[in-house]
Amino acid sequence: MNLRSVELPRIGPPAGMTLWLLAVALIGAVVHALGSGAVDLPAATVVSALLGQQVGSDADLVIWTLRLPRVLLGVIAGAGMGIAGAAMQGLMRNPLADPGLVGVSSGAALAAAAVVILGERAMSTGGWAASALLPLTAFAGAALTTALVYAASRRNGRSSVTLMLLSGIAINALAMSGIGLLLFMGSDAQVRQFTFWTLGSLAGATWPGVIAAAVAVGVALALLLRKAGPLDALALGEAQAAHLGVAVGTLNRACVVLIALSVGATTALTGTIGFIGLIAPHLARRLAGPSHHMLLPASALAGALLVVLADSAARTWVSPAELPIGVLTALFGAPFFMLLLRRRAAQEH
Amino acid sequence: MLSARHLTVMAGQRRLIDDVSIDVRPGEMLALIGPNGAGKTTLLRALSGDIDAACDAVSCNGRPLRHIPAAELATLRAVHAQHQRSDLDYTAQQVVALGRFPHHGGRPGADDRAIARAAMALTGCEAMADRLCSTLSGGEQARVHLARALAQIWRGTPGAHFLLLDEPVAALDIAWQHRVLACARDRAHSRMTGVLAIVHDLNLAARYADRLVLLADGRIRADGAPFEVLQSAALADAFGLDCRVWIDPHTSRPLLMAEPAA
Repeated sequence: MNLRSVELPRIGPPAGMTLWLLAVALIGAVVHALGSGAVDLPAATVVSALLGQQVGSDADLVIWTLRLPRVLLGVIAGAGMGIAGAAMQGLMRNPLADPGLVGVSSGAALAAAAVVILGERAMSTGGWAASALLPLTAFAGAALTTALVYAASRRNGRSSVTLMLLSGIAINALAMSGIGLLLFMGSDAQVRQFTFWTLGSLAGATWPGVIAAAVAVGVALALLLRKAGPLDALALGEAQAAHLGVAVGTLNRACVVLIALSVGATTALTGTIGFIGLIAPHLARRLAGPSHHMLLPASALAGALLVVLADSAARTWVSPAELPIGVLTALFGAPFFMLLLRRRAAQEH
Repeated sequence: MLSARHLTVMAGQRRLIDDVSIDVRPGEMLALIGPNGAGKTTLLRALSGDIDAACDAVSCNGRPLRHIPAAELATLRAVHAQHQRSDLDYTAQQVVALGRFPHHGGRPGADDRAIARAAMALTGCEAMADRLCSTLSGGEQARVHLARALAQIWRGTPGAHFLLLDEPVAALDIAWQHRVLACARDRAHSRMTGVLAIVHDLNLAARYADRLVLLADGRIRADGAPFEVLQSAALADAFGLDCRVWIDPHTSRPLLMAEPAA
């Protein structure tokens, strides 16, 4: 018997059932979020408005134009960060990988902020091309930083936790100084947006944005699910996965692109909401087990659930003012990360 | 047949493998022996297809590895590496089922799970099936990964298939050392698998292998029946040993007593 690690078996019901339970919990959280705000609406009213039985009423207006885009953006952003975190942990074979911690979200935020501040004229011309510019640049920023972190954290064909976290610190610092420089050049109004990029917010949700993010995250999830088997094999190590017939180079590149797609699309619309990509996959792994067939959808549901709950709390705790959602996720996420670090240190010694 | 012809592997200016030709034949258990740093693992990796520069000099059933897609090669040969990741949070059964990945490409089916269970029975890990790999001892983990390699080439695909084992018994107790090598030999004889195993214990190698290949300084110094190779001057020379060899009357296998040469 070895004493290096404490056995942490999967808890709860069978993995398939877990997905349904998470989905039910998410629906409950969504209904609750739609009902709470400046005007509290009972769950029955929310449901009947959603079913289109309240057309023309105030509740209908509040839910369909004000709250639903915001809550759905939360669902999609949470799902996107959840799968990006799960895929990154699988790709790096490292449970501490998180797109936010290693600087991928900051990279996306820097690229998006650059477009907002430098490309103001291009944006103001309006139209689909302009609205696509922001997510596309955020995607490019995310892809660049993912590839950078991935390359920087590898040594002798293996991915090192220490190198990954340290290069993440460097990339985060670089991206933040870049954002700071842009703010220095920006107007007062743009400076006020600073908190949006660093602490995140769902307040800017619009239907076109929600649909664009849904498409990006949906595509990323669908394509990552097809990589679930290879990602499981990759857990054994790159050489072992290659012995099992996995085209490791192709898999790595595909994961980098899909993580970037997911993070880029969500960051462009919500700013950086930290730690969801770290916590959601851990929660999912405990509930649904390590196999990526279950882990990826479970991480999407867990991420969505966490963001919707965090946004509800952010909107209502100091009402009528609003807490930045990233403050809340960091408040819970940072201690959680410390806990993981300690547990890992205990395993290594 | 898995063959290397005039294989040379360089690391910078050093020749890790120097003009080696070797055949791993279906139905035969071959033990690769040699001192530390002789190039045994490098040769095994070259035969596995891990070393890109070697993929022209190595062929499997007559086709150079260069021309065999990775997914197809994975149905023809399984590899047990010496070092495995020890912090896997998958259960032993999930890890063994991953050996079936080349056959299902996604999720293991009922058939794959049955094969995984049968492979686990062979290496005595049924009782650990639902335990996380990270909580198993080194020897137990080694047996789980051996079961994974066995599951990978469980059924003979058309054409011969191969099992490459890098120190499969290094972490095992003496009883499991015998059981695992006997199991590998039985797979070779009964399923026409070509087995190559790197083994440090020369008596164990001679007890279970049909053929011994001695590698030293990247070259093959002896290749033949266990009795011949153990008796050869090349063996004494490669290890710097004084050797005495006799036959175990019980198994009719050669036994070696050796001590460092004066």
